[in-house]
Amino acid sequence: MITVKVLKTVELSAWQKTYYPELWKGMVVTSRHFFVNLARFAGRAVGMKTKRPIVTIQYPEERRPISPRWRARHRLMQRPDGSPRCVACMMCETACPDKCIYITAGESLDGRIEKYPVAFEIDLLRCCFCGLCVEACPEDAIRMDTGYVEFGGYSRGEYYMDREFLLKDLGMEDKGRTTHAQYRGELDGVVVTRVDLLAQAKHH
Amino acid sequence: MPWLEIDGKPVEVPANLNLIEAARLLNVEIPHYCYHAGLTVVGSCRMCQVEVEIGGRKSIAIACNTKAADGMKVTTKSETVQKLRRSILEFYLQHHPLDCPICDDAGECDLQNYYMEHGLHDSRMPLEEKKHKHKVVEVGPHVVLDSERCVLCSRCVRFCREITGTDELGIFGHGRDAELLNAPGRKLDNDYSGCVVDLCPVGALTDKDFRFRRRVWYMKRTASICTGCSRGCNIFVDWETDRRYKDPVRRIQRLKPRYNEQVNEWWMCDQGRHGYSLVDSPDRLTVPKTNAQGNGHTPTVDEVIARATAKIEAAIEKHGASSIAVLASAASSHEDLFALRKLFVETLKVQNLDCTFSFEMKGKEDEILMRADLTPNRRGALELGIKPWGGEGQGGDDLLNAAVEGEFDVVIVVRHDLSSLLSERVLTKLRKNSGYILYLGTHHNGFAELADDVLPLAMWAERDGSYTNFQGRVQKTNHVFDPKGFALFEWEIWKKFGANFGVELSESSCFDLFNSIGRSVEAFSALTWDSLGAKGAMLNGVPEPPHRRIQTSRPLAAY
Repeated sequence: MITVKVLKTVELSAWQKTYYPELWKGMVVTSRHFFVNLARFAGRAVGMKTKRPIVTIQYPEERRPISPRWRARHRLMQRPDGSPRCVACMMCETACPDKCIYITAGESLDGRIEKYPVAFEIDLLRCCFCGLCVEACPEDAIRMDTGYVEFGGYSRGEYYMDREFLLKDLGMEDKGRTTHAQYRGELDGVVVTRVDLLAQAKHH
Repeated sequence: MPWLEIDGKPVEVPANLNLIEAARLLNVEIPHYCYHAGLTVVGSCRMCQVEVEIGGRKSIAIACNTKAADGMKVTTKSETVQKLRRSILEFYLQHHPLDCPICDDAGECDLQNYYMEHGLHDSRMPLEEKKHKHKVVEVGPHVVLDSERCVLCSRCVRFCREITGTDELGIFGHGRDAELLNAPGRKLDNDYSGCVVDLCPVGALTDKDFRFRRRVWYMKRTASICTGCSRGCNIFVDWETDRRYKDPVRRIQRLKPRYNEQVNEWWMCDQGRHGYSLVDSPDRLTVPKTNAQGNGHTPTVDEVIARATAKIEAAIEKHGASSIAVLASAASSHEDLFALRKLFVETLKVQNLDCTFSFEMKGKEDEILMRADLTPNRRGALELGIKPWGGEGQGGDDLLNAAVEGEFDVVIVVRHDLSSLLSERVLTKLRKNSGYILYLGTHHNGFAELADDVLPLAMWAERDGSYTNFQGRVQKTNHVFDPKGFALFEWEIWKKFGANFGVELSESSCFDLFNSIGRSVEAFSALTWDSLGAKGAMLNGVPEPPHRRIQTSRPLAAY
């Protein structure tokens, strides 16, 4: 049975219809936050122990640190000689729930390995960043530890990452990526990581 | 007919049946590597050991070499048996490289399956101490061997000795040095070399053509038959499913033989096995083509059919039905030929029609499977009343010669690539002497260039169809995936033509057409599409051929 509840329209008085009372109430809330925050900053500046003030992060100049285990854009690991560590076993492709990994396997001519990926493509637009590919990999050849989380682009083609792109040494070990200890430490403070945008852009 | 008990279940089995086969009747799988129903028993793998109790005495026996006997009590799941299997498996995995991630057999590997079922032990063998053997050995033009993965079951060795009689492979060395290799100076290049890959229970022998192509769990399996020659071997088509949205270039990944004791048993020839590449060839005709002077757009099927209809009508009006020649094909299915006969023979009264050409009889023939006749349906065509032109023999050749000499205004060619068969001079003559040439084909070729109008045809994997092999067994191909581009079924084209000539062909599927054939043609009278089943059925009045085990030479008894 559907029950019907009849609601009465609240009739506004003439004073209410000007909206000034509500505007005023809103301003009170905003001002309260502003002055309380100001007081906390001021208190901290003179060495008082105050509650943590609210911080505005000046993105993109400032960025929040991301967890080292954050699942960011994928990368392919390299062997010491620069060839992919991947053996094209297709475990990641099999595990992938979005079917966004496409591997074409080939026979390697150098005698040490048999099978290698002729093509390794990831369609980032299909990817849901679940990380199952990383879990599935028996060779630790695919990782999602680049710390690279901003995927702006002008065309779909830009999201189609090929083998060479994935193999690029992103150098995230010492730059954008934070260690776990750093991350835990930084979480308590208000410090944010400064990322040199230009340097990062050059890197890619 | 002995009565015995397997795992507590009583069963009556035919005499002389071994325990593996007897257990199969009860759907009990006894693990085994070396045993294969098509080969002699060697009992070398020891995987099939079971507990057998007979006359109160209990013992361990290998199931493959123990014949079922009256009063036997077989236990396949006891703790002793499990323990035996685990320790045997441990021996097998001692020197096994465990490279399942890059092994093509992973997913259909008996070593993997049995380990997951019975083994599940940790390896006691240090990795560094594993024995290394030859890795990527090309044992033949189609087969690659990885000796480290081999379990020395000798199935391939027995196949080469007993079935093909060629003896290319052998096991050399003793103990842990034993290794499967080519016989000195020999290559595994017989016509059935692909079968050793099917036989191999592990990933030691892999097909070069399929190697690293696809993981086996990505593929779907459809039962079909090979249309490469008049034997019609039963096959499985393993085809791509997972990447359909990515426009797979190669839809058929591989073909595997399907057991049919009357036709091909467990085997198939290499030619058939690797013949599928034509289906996904980039040369496929996918759109109709016309050489008529037009505005340059690709014609639709209906436009081409309307044009061809007008030409045929004009020719009949001018010179009668004798001015039309149809070079039909015995590679077409019954349904195609039935529709063709209805249109040309029964309605238009065209007499110049044949599908028997000598150039199709030039295949290699042997006593195992291969047939010289390369068409899958010659017998079916004859039964459907498409008789050789001019009475006897290969009338198609005469018909073709007559067409070249210019006896016909309209020449309709189905499937044959005449450009590869005739010399350029003869082709030019044919072109000059014929007013109109219509070509129904599957691939781009010289003749498609030369013909006035071309209609694309679907190939065997893209359609349902039935074929009669040389024994008189009617078998069917199943639709695996849709035709490429705008390719049509042949009967569909004849039906469209028929609509222009007033032919009553109400059937709209292969099944209906085949059932109509069953109703109207004597030889097919006992058959319906469903009654063909997976293994086909004999033509009406044709007896089943006597069953013959395919075996060319000496069984390997010396083991």
